[in-house]
Amino acid sequence: MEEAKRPVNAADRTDEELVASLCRGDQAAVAALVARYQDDIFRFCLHYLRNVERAQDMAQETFVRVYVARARFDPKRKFRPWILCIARNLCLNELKRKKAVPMESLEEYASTARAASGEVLPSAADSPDEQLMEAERRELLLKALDSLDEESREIVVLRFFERMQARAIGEIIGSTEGAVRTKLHRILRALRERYAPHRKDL
Amino acid sequence: MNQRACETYGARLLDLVENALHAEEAEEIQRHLAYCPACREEYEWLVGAKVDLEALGDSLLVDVPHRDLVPGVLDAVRKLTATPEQAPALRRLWWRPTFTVNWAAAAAGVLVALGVAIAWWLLSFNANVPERVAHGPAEGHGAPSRDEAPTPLPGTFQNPELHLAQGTELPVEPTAPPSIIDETAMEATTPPDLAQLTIQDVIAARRDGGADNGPLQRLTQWASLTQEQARTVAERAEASDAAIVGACQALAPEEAELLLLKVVGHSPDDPYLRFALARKTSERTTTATEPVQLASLHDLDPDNALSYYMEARLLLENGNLEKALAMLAQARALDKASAYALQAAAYREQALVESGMDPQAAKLLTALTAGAEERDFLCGLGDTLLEYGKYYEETGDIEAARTIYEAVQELGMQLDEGAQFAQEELAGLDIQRAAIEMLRGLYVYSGTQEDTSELSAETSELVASIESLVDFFHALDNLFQGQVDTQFFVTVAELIMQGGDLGLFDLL
Repeated sequence: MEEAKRPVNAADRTDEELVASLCRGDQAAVAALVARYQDDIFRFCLHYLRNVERAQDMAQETFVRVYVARARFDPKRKFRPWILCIARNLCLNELKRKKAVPMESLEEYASTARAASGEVLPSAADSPDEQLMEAERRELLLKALDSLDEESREIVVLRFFERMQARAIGEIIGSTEGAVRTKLHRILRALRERYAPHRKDL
Repeated sequence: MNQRACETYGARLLDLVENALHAEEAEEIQRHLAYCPACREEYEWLVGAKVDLEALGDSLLVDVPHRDLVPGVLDAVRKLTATPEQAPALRRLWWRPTFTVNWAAAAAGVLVALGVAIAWWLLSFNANVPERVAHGPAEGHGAPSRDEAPTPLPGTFQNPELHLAQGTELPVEPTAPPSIIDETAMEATTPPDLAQLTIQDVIAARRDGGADNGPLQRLTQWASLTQEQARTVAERAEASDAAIVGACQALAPEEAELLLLKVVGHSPDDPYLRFALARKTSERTTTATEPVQLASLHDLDPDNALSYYMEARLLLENGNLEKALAMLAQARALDKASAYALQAAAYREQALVESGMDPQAAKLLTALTAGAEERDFLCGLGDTLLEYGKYYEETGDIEAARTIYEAVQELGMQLDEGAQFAQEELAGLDIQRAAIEMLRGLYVYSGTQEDTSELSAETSELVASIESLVDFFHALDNLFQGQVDTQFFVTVAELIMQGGDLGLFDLL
């Protein structure tokens, strides 16, 4: 019953308080932080790695790194950007390490995800025509995203898939809010050239 | 269509889509959209693109099952805490790098022995360690804050005790743990009456210094004005600019900054003054004006890489990794780095003279202690940068860590290249040593055989440089043994103050 009690207590504590407990060697704080963030981190890793097993490995390693680097956490900062930063670093390393293997494109990943879920066209659209149009639109967008460089794709993923603000993105990729905004503007211009003309046709 | 307005507003359209603008600004852009079809079209595209992209992100995660990571993470953490020595490969990342790799074993023995020898020699020069703790990265990006106790790094000679205790796996235990500074002895020393000091006193202290730390500590103490003495020198109506600048070395940052700013007004093109200002500013908690001084320094002395490294440290402190790495790349493209030890010595000599010290004594004293203070500063800078590298290494950004470590190694080489004093060269060599240790640790995890072989060659070169520096220190000791001619030492001091002590033996 003690196991069940622990998360209840931990739920009342802020991330930063949990990290402070972690620094004092409290392993229960690890469990609490993992329980709190595992879905976020796993999803975050999945956006980078596009492979469920690898994303799970990296998400787990992210928490181990948090434990290892706990003494270096600046209590004046927020925990969330820090852990996302660690997850991102690990994912980029992982991608680099596996570079020899051709990287799954977003498009391929999307079809794999669809096949795995058994859903041909996950959509809220009503009519079959609308579903078809949305599917085509999505294929086009995936193609356009795949044609971007890695840094640009990362910013798009963080901004629109993870719904992060420019400032938070800057904290994670080691840049400033202004620089991220400028890049985002440039990326969306590029995306417009590649995607908008086709989108209009649909 | 107003092209200029379109450019200005175009950059803010996404903010408008995201409701990230103040009401007034949003209204202003809306007014523009009302009569500008091009911007309106872009705005509509952005609205649609945002919806499409967010929907795409959501669709990629459809039916992704929930994974319970708690047991796996707890298991890994338990293993880490239970058996650190047999931890999995990941654990190696935060091992302190050691010289246990086979190929390096022989070289390492020599390096460590010499390192220990030099560290012993250095102990005598540590009376003047600046108050600011060298390790002290960042409040900005999750790296340790300035006040935080640093996680031990290999440590440069900034902190010889750290170096001796943790820098490498020592083949033999040092015979006795050397105390860095004999606090009680220092306290017991009566502050010198600088006006009474003669060149013979200086020669005698240096002569005895080879075997005993006490007299060398005394030299350093004599060469450093107290705050009180420095203030008196700087406040004299007839004080020269040079003496004021020299006195600033001993003054608190706020006080020194004001004086230095005044002198900069008289000599705006003197790079040393900008450097001194940037350093003093960096000793304060708020460092708003440091970038300004560093920018001036880039302009005044564009071939000196040091200011770029200092700026990279600032950028890291502010969490701007991207710019910091770009700055380090700029720094690495240059040939040499210098902390202006020669200029600093000249200014300090003038301050000593204007404090009432005999000019000959002041010159020899300054010559014999020049570069020691810069060595501390440089090793501190190297340590801080390595600390950031370690931070990024631990948090998984191997590429950033590697770039930082390599840049610090390059800084060491550039300092070696630009050194005029043995103390500066010592800083360069020790910074290289510390960086190589960090790189070795990194390569164990992520490097290739080529990386390791390259590091091996670099270690051998480093050992050779340390050996020749040790010879130099011995030769310097010998110079003071048996010589009694005061004029000889006056000449020695003049030679050193003209071009540093490293060229001394070529000239004599």
